[in-house]
Amino acid sequence: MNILTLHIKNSLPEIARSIETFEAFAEDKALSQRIVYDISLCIDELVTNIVSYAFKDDKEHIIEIQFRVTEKEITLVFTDDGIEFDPVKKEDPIHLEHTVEERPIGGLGIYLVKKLMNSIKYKREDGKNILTLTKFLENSNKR
Amino acid sequence: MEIKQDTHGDIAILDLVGRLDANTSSEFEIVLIPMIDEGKKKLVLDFSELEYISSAGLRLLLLAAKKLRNNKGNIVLCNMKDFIKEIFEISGFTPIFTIVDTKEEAFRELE
Repeated sequence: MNILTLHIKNSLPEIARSIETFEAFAEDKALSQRIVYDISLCIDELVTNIVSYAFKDDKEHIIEIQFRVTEKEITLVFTDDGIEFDPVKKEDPIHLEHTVEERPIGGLGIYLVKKLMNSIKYKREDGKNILTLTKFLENSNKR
Repeated sequence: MEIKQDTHGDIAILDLVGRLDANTSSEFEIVLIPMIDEGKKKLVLDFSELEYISSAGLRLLLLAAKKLRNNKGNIVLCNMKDFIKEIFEISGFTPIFTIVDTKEEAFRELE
């Protein structure tokens, strides 16, 4: 099992750093390009959401991201001390009957994460949001 | 992200190079939205050099599509890499956008 724990600050340039760190971590793990793309996208979406919406003060906050890789799966755990927010409960913005005019603009980031990952679990503990995502590595070219 | 601009008759062509994400979507927005607001009705986006798209980019494209619908205009996307196309499919965007393989097909769609 390979584990990497990363701490980033709640600022926009740190989003790129979190993705770069993951891509470097993934390089020697023989993960497929598709998997790396999908997970980078999930990190991008979730960290952007946390940085943009989790904190209502002007202070610096630390966001923890942990990556765990085994032969079978990769797990990501995002921990922040922002306001309580459960992305799992958030309603999907996709309704097939919506036309262009009706389709809402927001909510897409979390929806993509839910579709790209095999499981997503949220809990609130000790004033922190803890989001755990898992993606299976077998048949990695099929979503 | 670099945005290359070209025209083909009354069709505006935008070629996106690099990543379309939360950071770069504002660069694209200041090119794309004024074009539509000023009345441009036919747009082709060439994605052959687009390496990455996230929800911020998709949101911008959706906004552009909504504005164009209001103007009775149309936008066609071409040369998408397959992992980008899959993101469009997962987002449910494939019914909203006209997506073709080549630029030539894109021009034909807009005739």
